[in-house]
Amino acid sequence: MNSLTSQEREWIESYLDGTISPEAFETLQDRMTQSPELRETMRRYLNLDYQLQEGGSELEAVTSAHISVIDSEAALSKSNRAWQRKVWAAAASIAVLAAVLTFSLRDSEAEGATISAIHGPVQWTNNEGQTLDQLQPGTMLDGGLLESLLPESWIELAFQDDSRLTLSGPSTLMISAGKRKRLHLREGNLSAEVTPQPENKAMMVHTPMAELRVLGTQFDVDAQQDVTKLIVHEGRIQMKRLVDGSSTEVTGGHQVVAAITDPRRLEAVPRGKAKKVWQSDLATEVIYGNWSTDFGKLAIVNLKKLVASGELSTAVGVARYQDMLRIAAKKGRLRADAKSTSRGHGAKAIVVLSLSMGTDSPIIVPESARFRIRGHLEASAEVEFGFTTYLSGGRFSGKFSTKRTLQDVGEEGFDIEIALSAFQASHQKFEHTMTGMEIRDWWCATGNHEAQLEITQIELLSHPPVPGGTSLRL
Amino acid sequence: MRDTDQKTPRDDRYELFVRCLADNESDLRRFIRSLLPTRNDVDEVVQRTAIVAWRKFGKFDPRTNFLKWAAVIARFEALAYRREMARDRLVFREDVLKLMAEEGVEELGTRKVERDALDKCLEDMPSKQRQFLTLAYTKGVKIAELAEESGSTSAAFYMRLKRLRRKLMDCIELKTAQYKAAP
Repeated sequence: MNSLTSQEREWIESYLDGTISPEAFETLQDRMTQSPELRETMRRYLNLDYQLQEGGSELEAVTSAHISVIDSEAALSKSNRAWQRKVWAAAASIAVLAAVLTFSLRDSEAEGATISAIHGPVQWTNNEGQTLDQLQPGTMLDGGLLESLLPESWIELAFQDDSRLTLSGPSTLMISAGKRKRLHLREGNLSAEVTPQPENKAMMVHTPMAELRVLGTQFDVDAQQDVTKLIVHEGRIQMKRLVDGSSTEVTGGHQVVAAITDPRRLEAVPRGKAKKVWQSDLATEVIYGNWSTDFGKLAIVNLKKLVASGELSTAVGVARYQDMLRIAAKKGRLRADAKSTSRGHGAKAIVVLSLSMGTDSPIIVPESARFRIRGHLEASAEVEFGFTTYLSGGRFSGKFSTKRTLQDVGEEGFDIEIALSAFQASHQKFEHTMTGMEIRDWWCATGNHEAQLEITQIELLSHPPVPGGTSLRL
Repeated sequence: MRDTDQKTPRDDRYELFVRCLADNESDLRRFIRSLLPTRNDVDEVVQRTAIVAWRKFGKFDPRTNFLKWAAVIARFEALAYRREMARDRLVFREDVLKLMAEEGVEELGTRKVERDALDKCLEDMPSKQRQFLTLAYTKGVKIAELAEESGSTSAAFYMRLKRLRRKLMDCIELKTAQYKAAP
């Protein structure tokens, strides 16, 4: 092997990577016909390449064990590796049978997903109970619990059939290992681009309120304990509301909400006309944070009594309740809630709002705009403000954030404006213009828990600030 | 009517075939990999070989070497497949493929020392380098996307991959020599 020229060795390696030029490949083959040694070296390289490919999962297991905080080097014990070899041998036998019976090998493959991009604290607990919080692109996740821990966190997964998922913001997704893609979105936001699936192997997405059957489409789903909102951009999805078993088909450009407070017929509606301004509706849009208001408590109790006595129908009662919530939202406040990050990194106090929960219309980033944010602090603190964008035709397209040090200005609270141009992309992948994208969520976070951060109102204002026109308190 | 619990000679032959194939599948795949450029090509030819081997299994003498017998079938299947895929730029020419197959058949089953050496070399490798190899060899992952994600270029990514593979080859060569020299 040593008598090979460096050029020949270079060609062999380029052949393995698929980057060899046609001319070089031709010359390499000419020389291979002349040189048994070159052919022998080629076979040795191909043998190495084969072993790295076929041992990929075993190698991953070894790597995972190394990067795991929990696992010690003992995880690499011979017995563990021997067990993995047995699994490989069993898998090989299954493959052989499948070949003889002329079934496709691909049909028998489990549907694992590979991390293709990741940002912020994200944690994975596999079915054996091992927790990994140093995840890297390329890691295979084939059964367990995936947690995106903070508003700025997100993770993109790629399946073998090129279907892609993005889990964004505080979200919890359980991935079931098996022959079909089965996902349980316990809470949070999932954006998916699913390639056509066989009829008998539709992707299933379960949320606390609904069940989605996906045959190939592009969609986003927001799930909380009491409400699930589905937006379909392409294709169609069968959505079943779990509380009453009713179902509806949602096609591209439509959305549907399954909420425990809304007993009306489950019905998909077209997405509304895009807007470029937004005013928060804290009670409806809150995803993370403790919402409170002194307004209307007695009225709500009275309303319940009226419904219970039959003086009001349930439908009218619900309609009035929603009216009251709308009024109360203007008087309420959101106290930042503590959210732990990963092991050893403490917790942050966060507020997260889902804009899509509050309106049927997409909120589009205008060319020149700013956020106006009002709230209270008990102590000065550095606060990070951010938002998540989606492409107008669907798909997660980025997170943008900026930090401000806010002073405790007493009872009056703070009132600040931040131009959109001050927000930076959280990842180089998103260093593109945000203009024209849809804002899906808004968040703020601080590591200073004593500040007791509260938000009372947020607005997206599309016109530039009037010089001297607004008195802002920092 | 046939009793479902009663084995027929065909069942026995089938069981023997499956056992032979299962015992040798890894070496057979390795052999086919030395002739064809991608994992998908290997999957396809392994399946074709298995089907043809089952059809011809009645002529196989169990006292002889199943792996070599199946590899001869695989060689023909790979050649036939090559003709179908001849436009693919990474498929070996027929004369090269024949030479590789003839020599590869003679080497069958002789790579065990190298396989063990690779296991040891991987274990000895720093975890970051091993992680990098894991990334590069994860099924379905595209190098260009990985490079972009890691803030690198495809060229730099391939260069690092080549360096690590060369390091592994050197390590395997050294360990293989040590095994052979050991009493």
